[in-house]
Amino acid sequence: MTAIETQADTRRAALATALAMSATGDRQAFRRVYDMTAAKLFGICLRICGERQAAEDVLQEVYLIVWRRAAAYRPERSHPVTWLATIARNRSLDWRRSPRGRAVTPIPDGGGVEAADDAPLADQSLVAAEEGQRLDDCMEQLEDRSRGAIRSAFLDGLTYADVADRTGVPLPTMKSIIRRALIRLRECLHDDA
Amino acid sequence: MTPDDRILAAELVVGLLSAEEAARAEDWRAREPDFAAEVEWWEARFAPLLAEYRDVAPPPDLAARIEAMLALPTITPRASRLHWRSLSLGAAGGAIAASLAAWLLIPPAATPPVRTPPVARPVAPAGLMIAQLAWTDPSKASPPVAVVEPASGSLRLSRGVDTPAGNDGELWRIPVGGKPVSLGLLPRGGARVIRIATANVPAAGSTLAISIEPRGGSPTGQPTGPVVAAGVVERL
Repeated sequence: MTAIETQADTRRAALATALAMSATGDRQAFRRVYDMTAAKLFGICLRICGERQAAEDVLQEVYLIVWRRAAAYRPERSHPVTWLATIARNRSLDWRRSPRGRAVTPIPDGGGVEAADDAPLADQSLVAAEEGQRLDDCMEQLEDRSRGAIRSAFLDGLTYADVADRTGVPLPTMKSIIRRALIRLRECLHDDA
Repeated sequence: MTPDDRILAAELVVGLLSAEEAARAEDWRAREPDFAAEVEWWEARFAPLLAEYRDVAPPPDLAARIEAMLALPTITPRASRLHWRSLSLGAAGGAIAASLAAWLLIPPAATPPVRTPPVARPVAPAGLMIAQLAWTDPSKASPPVAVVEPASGSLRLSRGVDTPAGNDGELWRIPVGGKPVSLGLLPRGGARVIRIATANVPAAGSTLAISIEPRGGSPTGQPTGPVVAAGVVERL
């Protein structure tokens, strides 16, 4: 096991413990959860909301949800950062789909954050490396156009309509391209090979 | 589950759906365990992409703002539905139940206090009772919590209960060793507060149950349809 992996394991255990203690109403533990994850979650909110004030509001809501829901986290089922990031992403998507969110034109580079199409940062090993490798391999088998659409839909919070707008492809065409790609992706991810 | 449903689960997770489509899919996810499992499968498969979000430091005062809100949680009207949807108590202990109860008692329109002295835990008003309901369908997630406030004769549910079109949900109290007594119909639409007469306040140890009845409620005075959720009433 490398030093980076050990560090990641320690961090995961510390975060899972802090979450479990938050569930008992321990505010200091909750503050540790915040300190360990706020920058990550703010990065998600900012990239999807595309507007700083909205991202701050959403982040605030996210942590209130976390405070109330901490007891629902199951360490055996997911990485704590994945669990938290999913809440942040879903809340950001909800905002993005709200009337106010729809009125905002997302900042093209994701709110001053670089579009992260290159390798993920080393300290962010959210899941076992092989899981990430599997997704990469399967995404690699898709056409460039559908791979790009799925990636930016996921990372930037774009709907079918947004993706079609951005690429100038008619909506029905875009839908059928992406759906076909999702079917292939599912088959590939289900393959044990 | 059809192949289309599987793709719908992927579309929900990737975030491709419009607000209306996503709300429908979420609703379905809450009711259909197979669909919920498919959504969870996709979430786990896509989790590696979450690593691509870059860290951005939030404003330094945000932590203090959040901590101030923990003292007396409020529901912002814009987010109330989503909070409830996201809420799941699972194996919550008494502390969580107590803070949830206090949260439920705050009317949605309440303005947040300007300055609240930090308290370890909200204090529950005297006489408050709570029932953690369980779905009778064990594969369903996030069952509702009922909070009974005898002083105001109100019962609040932490989340709505889906009823098929043309039916009503009916709430019952079942005294220990006794027959079910109707507490009334669940409100249609968003409201989750039910007024109950003083004589009808369930006693600690009795059971609360929700059954699906024909429009307008059970014609017989006893539950006639399937019981979808039930739980024992406890004093806080």
